[in-house]
Amino acid sequence: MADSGSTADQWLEAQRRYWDAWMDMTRRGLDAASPGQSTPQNPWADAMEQWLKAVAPATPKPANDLLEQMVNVGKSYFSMAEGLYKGAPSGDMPEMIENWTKMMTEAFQGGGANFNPFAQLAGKSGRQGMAFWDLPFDTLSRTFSGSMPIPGDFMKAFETAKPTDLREQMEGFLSAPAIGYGRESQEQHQQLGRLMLDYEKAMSDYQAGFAHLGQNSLESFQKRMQTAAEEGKTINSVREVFNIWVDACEEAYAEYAMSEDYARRYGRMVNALMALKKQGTRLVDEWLEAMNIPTASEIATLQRRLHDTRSDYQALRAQVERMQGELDEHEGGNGEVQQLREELAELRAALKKQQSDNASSSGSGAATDDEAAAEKPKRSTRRSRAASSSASGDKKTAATKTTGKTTTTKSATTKTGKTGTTRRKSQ
Amino acid sequence: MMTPIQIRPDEALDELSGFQNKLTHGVQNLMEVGEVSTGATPREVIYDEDKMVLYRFQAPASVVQNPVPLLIVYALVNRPYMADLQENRSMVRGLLDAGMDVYLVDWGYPGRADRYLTIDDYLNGYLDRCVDVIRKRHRVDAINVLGICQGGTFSLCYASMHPDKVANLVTMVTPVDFQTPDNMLSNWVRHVDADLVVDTLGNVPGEMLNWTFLNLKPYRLMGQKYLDMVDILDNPDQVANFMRMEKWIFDSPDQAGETYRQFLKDFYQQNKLVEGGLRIGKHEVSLKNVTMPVLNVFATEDHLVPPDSSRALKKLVGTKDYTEQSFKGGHIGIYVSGRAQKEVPPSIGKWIDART
Repeated sequence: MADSGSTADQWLEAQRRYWDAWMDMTRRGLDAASPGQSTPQNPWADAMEQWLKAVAPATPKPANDLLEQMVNVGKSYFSMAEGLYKGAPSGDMPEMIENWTKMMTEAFQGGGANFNPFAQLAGKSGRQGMAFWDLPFDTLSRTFSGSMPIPGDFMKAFETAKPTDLREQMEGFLSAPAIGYGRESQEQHQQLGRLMLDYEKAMSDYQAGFAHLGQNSLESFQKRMQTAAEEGKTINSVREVFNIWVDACEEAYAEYAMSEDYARRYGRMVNALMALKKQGTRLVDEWLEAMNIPTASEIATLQRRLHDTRSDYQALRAQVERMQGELDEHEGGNGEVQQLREELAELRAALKKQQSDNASSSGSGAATDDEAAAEKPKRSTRRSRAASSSASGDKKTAATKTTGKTTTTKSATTKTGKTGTTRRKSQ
Repeated sequence: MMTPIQIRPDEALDELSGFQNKLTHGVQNLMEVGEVSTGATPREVIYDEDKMVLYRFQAPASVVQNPVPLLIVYALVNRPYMADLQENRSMVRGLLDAGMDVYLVDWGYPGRADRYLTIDDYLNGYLDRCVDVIRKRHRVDAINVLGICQGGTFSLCYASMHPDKVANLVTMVTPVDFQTPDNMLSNWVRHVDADLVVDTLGNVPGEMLNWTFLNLKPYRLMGQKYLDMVDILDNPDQVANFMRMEKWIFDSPDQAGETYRQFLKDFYQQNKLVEGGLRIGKHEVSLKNVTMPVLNVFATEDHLVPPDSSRALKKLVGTKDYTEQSFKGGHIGIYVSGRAQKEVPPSIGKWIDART
C-alpha cells in the first residue's frame, strides 16, 4: 500500500467529521437541518468508497475481493443505523422503529429495491444480482456481435422499464418468412432471436418473483421484534438489529425459495438460457464449419469416442488381469501335477528296487508272488495318501487343500472378479 | 408496538465507530495474508490415473494403527482438502490420531475432455481401482470406507455394488433421500431440464454450482459473514483461517457433464436411491445390499443436506449393524469446528475399532 497510514488517517478524520454531523443530526433531526445546507444522502458510504479506491490498488487480489465484500455489507449496516435515526429525530425508540418500518414498507410497495439497505447485501434485487445467469449470455452476445444481423447488445434495450414495444417489434421481425438462398441461415437466426426473447422474459419473470420478498422480510422482522418485546428482551446494538433483519430476510427468502412458484420460474429461466446458448453454439458451429475449422459438435464426437475407447481399454485390461490370475493358478496346478509325477516315479523306482531285491532273495519261481507284492504297495500307497489327506503339515495334503481352495476361490473370482489381487498376493 | 430496541445514539455511534476502526486498521492484516495454504498433513501419492490421485496420509509413529485401512471418498463438487484444511482443523489428522490408516481419493478438476465421464466411470472405474490398490497393498479382502457429502452417496452406491470389498462404511453429511420437504436444492432443480443443461454446456461450470450453494442462504453467506469478518480483522491467524475457508468455498471444480446428468436426474429428480431403480453401469444399486456395519454421521444444522435426508438411510440399508451419530453444527462445521475435531474423528475411530 503506497500510503496506507495517511490514507487511513484521512479517512478516519473524514469519518470523525461525519460522526459529528451525524450526532448533530440525531439531536436536531435531518429534516430540521437549515435550508440550503448540503447533506449527502449517505456520506459514510461515499467516504468508504473513496477509502476503498485508495487502498484497493495495493491489495492482493483475494484480499481485495474480501475487502470489497466487507465494505459493501458495511454500507448496509451503516445504512440501517442511519435509517433508524433518520426515522425518529426525537430519538424516541418506538417511534424510530415505527417510522423506519413505515419507510421500508413504502419503499418496498413502491417497487423501490434501491431503498432496501440490504439490496446490495445479497444481490437479490435488480439485474446486477443475477450477474451469474447473465454471464453466459454476455459471452454469447459478444461472440455474435460481429456475425449476426442483430446487434450483440440489443438485449440491453429490454432491461428498461417498459420493453413491451420493442419486444413486439422484435417478434414481428422474427416472424417474417425466410426466403431466398440464405433462407435456412435466416431461419436459424430468427430462432436465435426468439430464444433470446424467451430468455429475457423468463429472466424478467424470475426476478419479478422476488418482488414481494422485501415486504415479507419486513413482516418477519416486525414479528421478531414483537416476540422479543413480549418476552421482555432488549436489543442494545445496531449489530443485533442487523442480525435480526438478516434472519428475517433469510426466513422470507427460504419460504419463497421452497415454493412451487419459485421452482417453476427458476426452471424456466435456466432452461431458456440453455436453449438460447445451445442455438448459439449451433450457429457458431455452422460458421466454423464453413471456414473448415473443427466445430464443438465434432470435438464432442471425438471426446465421446475417446471415452468409449478408454472404457473398452479399461474393461479389457481388467479382463487380462483376471485371466493372468487364472493362468497363474493354472500354472500353480501344473506344478502340483509335476510334483505328483515325480513322487510317483520315485515310488515306482522304489518298488522296482524292492522287486529286484525280493527276486534276488527268493529266486526265479517267485514271479507270481512278485506281481502280488507289486499290487500291495500300490494299495498301501493309496491308503496312506487317503489317510494322510487329513493330516496337517503334509506336503501332499497341503497341495490337495490348496487345490481345493483354489477351485473355490476361482469360482468366486469368475463370479465377482474381486478376490484375484489378494489371492495372488498371498501366493 | 413496544420496541425491544434500546440503543442511545451515542452507543450506536461508538459501535459504528468501532467497526470502522477495525476495518481501517485490520486491512493491513488482510494484505499480509499472502498465499493461502491448505493441507496440513504429510501425504504420499499411492496411485494416480488421469486426473484422479490416491493419497495416503502419514500416521504419527506413536499411534497403534488399525490394520484395516480407511479410504475417504470426497464429493466431486468441492475439493477434498476441506478434510485436512490446516493443522488444528483437520479431520484427517484426527482420524490418524484415532489409529486409522487414512487414504483419500482426490478426483481432481475435470476438463472439457472429461465431459463423458459417468458415475459408472467414477465408481466402478476410478474408485474400484483405488480400493483394489489398497486391498493389495494391505493384503486384505475389504477396507473401511468413509464417504463425505456426495462422496457418501457414492460410497453407499459403491458398497451396494461391491459389498465384499467394504468392511465398514461411514457416511458423513450424506444425502440419501433427495426429496425431503426441506431440501431447497431439490426444489430448485425439479423443473430444470438436465439433458438440455448438459447437452448445452458439456461440463457444468463450478461457478454455477457455487452460485447455487451461496443462494441457499444469500443474506448470511454473501453478506452477514463479511460483516462478522470485520470483528476478527485484528487477529492475523483468524484472518488467515477465514481466507483459507473462502478459498475452499470458491474452489469448485467443473462437473463432468454425464455424471451431473445422472446425478441430477436419478438422485435429485427421481430419488432412485429411495424409490429404487437406480442403475450404475451394469449394476443395479439397492441399499439393501449394504450389509456391512454402517455409521451415519449427520449435522443437525446442515442447510445443504438436511438431517432427514441423511437419516432416511436407517430404513433403507440392509445391514443389521447401523449406528447414527448427530453433530450439533452445520455442513462445514462438522469438519472444521473445534468441537468437531474433538468429537467426530475419535468417535469414528472408536466405532471402527470395535468392528475390526
